[in-house]
Amino acid sequence: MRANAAPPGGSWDRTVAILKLALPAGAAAVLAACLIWPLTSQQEFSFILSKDRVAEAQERLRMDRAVYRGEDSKGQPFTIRAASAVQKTSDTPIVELRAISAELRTADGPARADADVGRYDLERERIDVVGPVKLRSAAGYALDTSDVSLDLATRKVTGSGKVDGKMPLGAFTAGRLTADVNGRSVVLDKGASLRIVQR
Amino acid sequence: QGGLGNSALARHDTKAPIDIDAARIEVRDRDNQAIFSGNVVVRQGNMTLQAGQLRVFYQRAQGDDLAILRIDAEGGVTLVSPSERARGSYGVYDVEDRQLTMIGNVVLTRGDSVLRGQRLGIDLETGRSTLDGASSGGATGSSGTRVTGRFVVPERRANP
Repeated sequence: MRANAAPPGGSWDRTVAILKLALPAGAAAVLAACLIWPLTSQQEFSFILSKDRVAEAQERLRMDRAVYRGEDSKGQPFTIRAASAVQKTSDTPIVELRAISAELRTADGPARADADVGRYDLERERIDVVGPVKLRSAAGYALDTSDVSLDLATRKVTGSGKVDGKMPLGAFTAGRLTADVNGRSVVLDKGASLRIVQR
Repeated sequence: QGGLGNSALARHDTKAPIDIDAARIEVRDRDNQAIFSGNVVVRQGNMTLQAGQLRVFYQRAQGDDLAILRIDAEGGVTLVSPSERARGSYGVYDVEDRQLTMIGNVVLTRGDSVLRGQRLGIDLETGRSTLDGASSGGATGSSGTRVTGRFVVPERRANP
């Protein structure tokens, strides 16, 4: 039965004979094309970069949706996210941040600080908040104040000059504020007043 | 038991807002406590309390509620209310039980009369005030010092 599948001298033998010649020839042709083709291209592509016509960026660095990560003195991680980050010059490691949210790990769970504007000192890992900031922690610690600086390494919030704001116990004003996010304590001194509204 | 007239602090609203000024305030959220130091002045309604140092105990059960449980005052405490002025070494304002107590060399001035004792208690519900001689607040006379007082009887105006 297998015999009549491919009888000697039949159509299959002829196709194989043709292919035996055609395929190597085709391969050779393709190889030649690959070698010769690049040499034949004529058009020249070159440009001159002129220094004065290039668009110059004012800032040293501009980032959108910037993320900074680091660790505090006890090795607890923190993350700072900002809608935009601009570093004016390279000699000062200060980055202007917009729409900031900093997440830090504390002894009783995560804490979070949200602010609209701030300057982040990359070396000292400290955000100087311009305007209001809201601080919340999973353990119910809350602090709303403004124009304070948040030291990510020591987890301390400090503010001086007239500082006001609100925490669960009440609304306060003081000459100076020092809050320890880890220890969940707030010290108001240089003259302070607190208004407690029971609810 | 030196029963006195009622204080104007009767039906005092212990849930009213409390304003506290001090040189320094330390709020310890972890212990639900706040420590005030440096000429502390506490105002609630028509009651004013002054002290060298104050400690407020509060409670935040859940959510956003806040209840003040007790306020301890020390370092020379002065209470001022529309009807009296009292000075003592220590003061305890039990906000929850609506009781005000002053302890230690208490001097109570009401109008022109000055009363001294070891322990002054004012019930902020009824306004009932008691001044004990005994520093431990037990029955007077037995072991404690006597309550001394100087009463001034207003002169009878000669009728025309």
